[in-house]
Amino acid sequence: MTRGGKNLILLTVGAIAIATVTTGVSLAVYHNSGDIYLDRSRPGFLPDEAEQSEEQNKDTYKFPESGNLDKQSLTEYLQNIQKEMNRLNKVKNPFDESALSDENLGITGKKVENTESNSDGVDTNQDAQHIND
Amino acid sequence: MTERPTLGYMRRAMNRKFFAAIVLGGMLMLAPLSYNAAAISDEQKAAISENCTSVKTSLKMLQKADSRTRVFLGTSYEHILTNFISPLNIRLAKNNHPETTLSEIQIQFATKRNKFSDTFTQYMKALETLGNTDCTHDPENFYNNLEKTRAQRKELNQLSNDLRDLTIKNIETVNKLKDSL
Repeated sequence: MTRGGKNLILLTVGAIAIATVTTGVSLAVYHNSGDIYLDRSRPGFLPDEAEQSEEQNKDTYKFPESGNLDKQSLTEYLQNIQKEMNRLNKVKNPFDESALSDENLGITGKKVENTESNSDGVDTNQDAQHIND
Repeated sequence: MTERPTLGYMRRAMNRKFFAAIVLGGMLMLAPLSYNAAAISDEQKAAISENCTSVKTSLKMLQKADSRTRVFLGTSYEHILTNFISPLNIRLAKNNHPETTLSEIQIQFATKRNKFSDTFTQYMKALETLGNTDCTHDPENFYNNLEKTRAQRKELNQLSNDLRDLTIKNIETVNKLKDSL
């Protein structure tokens, strides 16, 4: 192999190595900064197709910014925001601290009677079930 | 006869002193950050070690459930702010009927919504750190991380409740406004 050929191979390998290192560093920074968690939970980056279709079917009412200020317009506002409020109320006490309690995680250190024990200690689906209703 | 210190020798000596100062300073700064082990009982340590696998599984399920909840709530908060609260205030201003209470609600809602996003990020980081902690061999550290995660979750819960309360306050204020027209 000629000297030029060897240099070309070295150049290629070096370029790939540098690209790999810089990509790895970028991903590490992205992960450590916490932005990955924000992106993963942002609408449009939903984990399941079923959830994505649910979002697309959502009512997209917007209160008009211009127009008269009268009882009829405010009644319309209240009716539509109440729908959104009802949607919010589907999630009872979101991020309830009981999900991470010692009892729920099964780390109280106290012996629990088998008749009352729950194999799946964490009630993780409480909020999620209300979302699907 | 003592050797006259050369420039290179002085540079090396200074580098050693500088390096030692950096290390010492770093140790002094990091010392307060060393965690104090939570005072958990031996029974709890044993329970954490024994149930480590099931606890980790539960945490993973919780992580997924919380992500879905965040998406659901985040969408609602965004919808309420951009499609209701903000346009209403704009319309009130255009009709020369600005409402101070509603403007304050908008500011508070936007602030808390942003804080909710930031707090959720911190919470998910804490949850992932917790999930990566070896609870079989280091239950105390695991419990410490669990306490930190609980604090973040409590803050998230508070923010969610605050945002709901602000929405209710907005509805009540608009009701009063409607009655006054």
